[in-house]
Amino acid sequence: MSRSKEDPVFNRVEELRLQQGLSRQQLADAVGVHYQTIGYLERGEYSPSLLLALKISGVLGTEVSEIFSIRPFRKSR
Amino acid sequence: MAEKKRNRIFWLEGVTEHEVLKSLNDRAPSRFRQQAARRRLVVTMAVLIFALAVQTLLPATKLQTYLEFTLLAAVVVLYFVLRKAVRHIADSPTELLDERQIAARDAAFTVAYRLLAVAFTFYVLLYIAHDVLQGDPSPGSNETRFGVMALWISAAMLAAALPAMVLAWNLPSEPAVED
Repeated sequence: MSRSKEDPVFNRVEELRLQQGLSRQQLADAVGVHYQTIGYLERGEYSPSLLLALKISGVLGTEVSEIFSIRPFRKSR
Repeated sequence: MAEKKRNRIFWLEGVTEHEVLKSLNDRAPSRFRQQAARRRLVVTMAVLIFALAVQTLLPATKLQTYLEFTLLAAVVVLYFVLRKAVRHIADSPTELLDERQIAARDAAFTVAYRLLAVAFTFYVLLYIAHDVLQGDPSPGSNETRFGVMALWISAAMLAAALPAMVLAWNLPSEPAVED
């Protein structure tokens, strides 16, 4: 359910979530969405709203720009 | 003592709060978690609804009546399976969904509305064909009335099921709780 397949939003949600030892369900509960929404988001099949991106940023303790980007993240990060 | 939460009924959507929440949080494995299986269900539903409409052109015989009732029963059963296959997202009120689910539901309704416009043209043509093939039926005869009724039931079922059908078609395969 990406808003635009032509303009994908890349993210590091899974990487940062796993670093924090959070399950999808825990992150989903913390930001008030369904666990599948986190799953779709991590797979790049859904681009979150600004509000959801800010909430995720708050829970993961990382700047939004460090989590979401319109350019692919480098693997080494 | 914890107060038991009241199960709200959403009359317009035809769902209850518990039904939606149970469906959204259902972790039981189901083939309909996969897009391919959901798409097969959509195709089957479309074929059955189409058959229900087209069979009204057949001569009114006992066999045609059995066929009509069988198709009608199958369409109704599949309608409920389809609703469950998309976790009731197509029929849920906004307050029970998150932003992705709301976006998916609304996108499905937009596509379904456009498809319905085309489908209703088909139904009008079928209605005319039904009239022509009937020849000169006695006005108000049971055969004519029921034939036309099945046509409109088919249209109503399509209108009811189309958002869920579009959603079932478009939703990617579901991610597991933890992949």
